Amino acid sequence: MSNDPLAALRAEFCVRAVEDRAVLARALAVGDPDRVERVAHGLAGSAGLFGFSDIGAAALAVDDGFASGRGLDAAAADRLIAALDALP
Amino acid sequence: MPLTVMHIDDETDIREVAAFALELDSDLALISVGSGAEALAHLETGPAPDIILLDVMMPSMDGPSVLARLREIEGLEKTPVVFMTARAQSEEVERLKALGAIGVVVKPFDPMTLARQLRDILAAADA
Repeated sequence: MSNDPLAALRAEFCVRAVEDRAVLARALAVGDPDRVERVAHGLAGSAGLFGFSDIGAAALAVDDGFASGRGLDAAAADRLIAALDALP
Repeated sequence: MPLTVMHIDDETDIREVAAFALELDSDLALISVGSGAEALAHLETGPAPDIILLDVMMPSMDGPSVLARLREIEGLEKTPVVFMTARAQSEEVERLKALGAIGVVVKPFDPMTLARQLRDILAAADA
């Protein structure tokens, strides 16, 4: 049994992150930047809470593109997909 | 009397971790809601919390819009509001404070210190 008080929440995050990965890929495929921003922003805030700093940093890079007015950074979005693919 | 915190965030993950974090402080009571509309409905009929922890980016009604609306509710004109955001740039933090927030908590926050962080922000605002 884990002594990590966040273990159950981390497991739930991993399940949701897989769903987020699918939503993100679909949004990129159909050209839906608003949805990309929503998913990236959510992950930017939550991934680091569970120790997934690579996902958090990649999500923040996508989010920064929108926050700064540059819009969708496709390369950053690809890096976020790759970070999500590396989830355990 | 426990310090009553209302946490408003559409992200389930964030609400769950915040609940865990704030429950570490046994002298703190939490009201957790998933949208601005839900928060306003609660605030219009229930007692005012001591502090509101408010996510900035939410669908339908974002944090600044919720803040503007709750200021129109009698008894909530001066309720302390702390924004929570993943966007930590100093210009963004200053923009949020200029809207009337007493502080900003940056995501990801440290669950072990969130309650203390809120109490410190409150104490600094009261000083």
